[in-house]
Amino acid sequence: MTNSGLFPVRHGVSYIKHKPEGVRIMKNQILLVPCITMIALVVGGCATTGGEARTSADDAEVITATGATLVVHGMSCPLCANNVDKQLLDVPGVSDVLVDMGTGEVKVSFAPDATVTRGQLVRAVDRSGFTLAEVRVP
Amino acid sequence: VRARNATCMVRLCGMSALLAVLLSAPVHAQEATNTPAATQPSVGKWYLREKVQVVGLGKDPETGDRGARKVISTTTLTRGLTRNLSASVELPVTHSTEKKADGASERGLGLNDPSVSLKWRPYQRDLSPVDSVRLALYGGLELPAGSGGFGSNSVDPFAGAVLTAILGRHGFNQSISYKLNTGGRSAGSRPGDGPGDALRYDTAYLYRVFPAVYSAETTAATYLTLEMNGQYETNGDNEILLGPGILYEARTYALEASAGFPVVRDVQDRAKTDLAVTLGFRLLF
Repeated sequence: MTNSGLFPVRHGVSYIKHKPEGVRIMKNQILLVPCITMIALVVGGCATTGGEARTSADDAEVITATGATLVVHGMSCPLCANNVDKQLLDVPGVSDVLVDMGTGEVKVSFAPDATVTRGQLVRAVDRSGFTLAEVRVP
Repeated sequence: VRARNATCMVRLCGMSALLAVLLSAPVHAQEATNTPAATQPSVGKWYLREKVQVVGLGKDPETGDRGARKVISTTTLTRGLTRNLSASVELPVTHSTEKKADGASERGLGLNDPSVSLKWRPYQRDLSPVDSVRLALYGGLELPAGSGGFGSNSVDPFAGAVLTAILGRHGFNQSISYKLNTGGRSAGSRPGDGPGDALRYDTAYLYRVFPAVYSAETTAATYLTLEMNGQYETNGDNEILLGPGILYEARTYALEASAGFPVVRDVQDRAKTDLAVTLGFRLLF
């Protein structure tokens, strides 16, 4: 019996409790599919991450100002925006982060004598999972 | 009748998918209570989620039980591995009170099969400070580590995809997944724990009621949600719950509550769901 051709309809518990050997073998083989899927997820996930954000010559430049403003896109809820805070506060020398979810502006303050580079800020936003649209340095 | 209902279910899935495509112009990370989302914690961060679901069940045609109440507590711990990849462990614990055919009550407590999974986000388009569209694929294994009669004694793989879209105050999630039952059978405390494979299809809409506009002063947001959670099992059982919910999100935690009312109960091999109420807590650290 079939239901609109999508899946076989299997009525009755007896079928389940006494599955034919062929069904069990087939299902064991099918187990390979999710295993391959899991491997693909890992490889794909790592590959698309690309070892973090693209770098450029500017990224090595130390920001001499006392802070910077980043424009970040995609921060649609408070809990997810907190990922930006956490990643930027993990950057050595960053002392404070203020997120304006409405404009996407993230104001980053540096500790005195901190040597924060543009690349560190770019990578932090990349690790947070959002899209960096602009870096403004006064 | 079952064939007709299955056809209706397929049409419903198709309409949901079409709606997802139409709304997917822009998107991002609002997640309703019982519907997956294409979201994950950032690299090296943890996301803890605790859900307690109280489910009222009707008569069980297999055991003859008059009814049952299940309290299912699900703990999920997720870690961001890379920008687009996360790993999760889920531990569901069930406490059941069953009213037997002879009128006596029987209580049980046990661990359902725990699961491990990966979620990979191959597509992300952040269109503005708020709007975003994301697609994630996920897959994993339910492990035969259940206890107290709630385990299935089989390794059951599952895989799925979820599309999340956020446009201003509107959020939309559409998820579909398939779990392969490799031979075991649990006590069937949850839809999909029965003897057949399970196709799960979930749709969620979220509306941000407060604040209307985000600003630098925003530290929390409140959403109203509407979810449709469906589960089709290859033994022919099909059940769809529809219900409202509320989600309060602060910067590091969230609180949620939702109710699910059955709108389709084409179920013959297990007890039908009368009502499901869920309370939840989320923590990012």
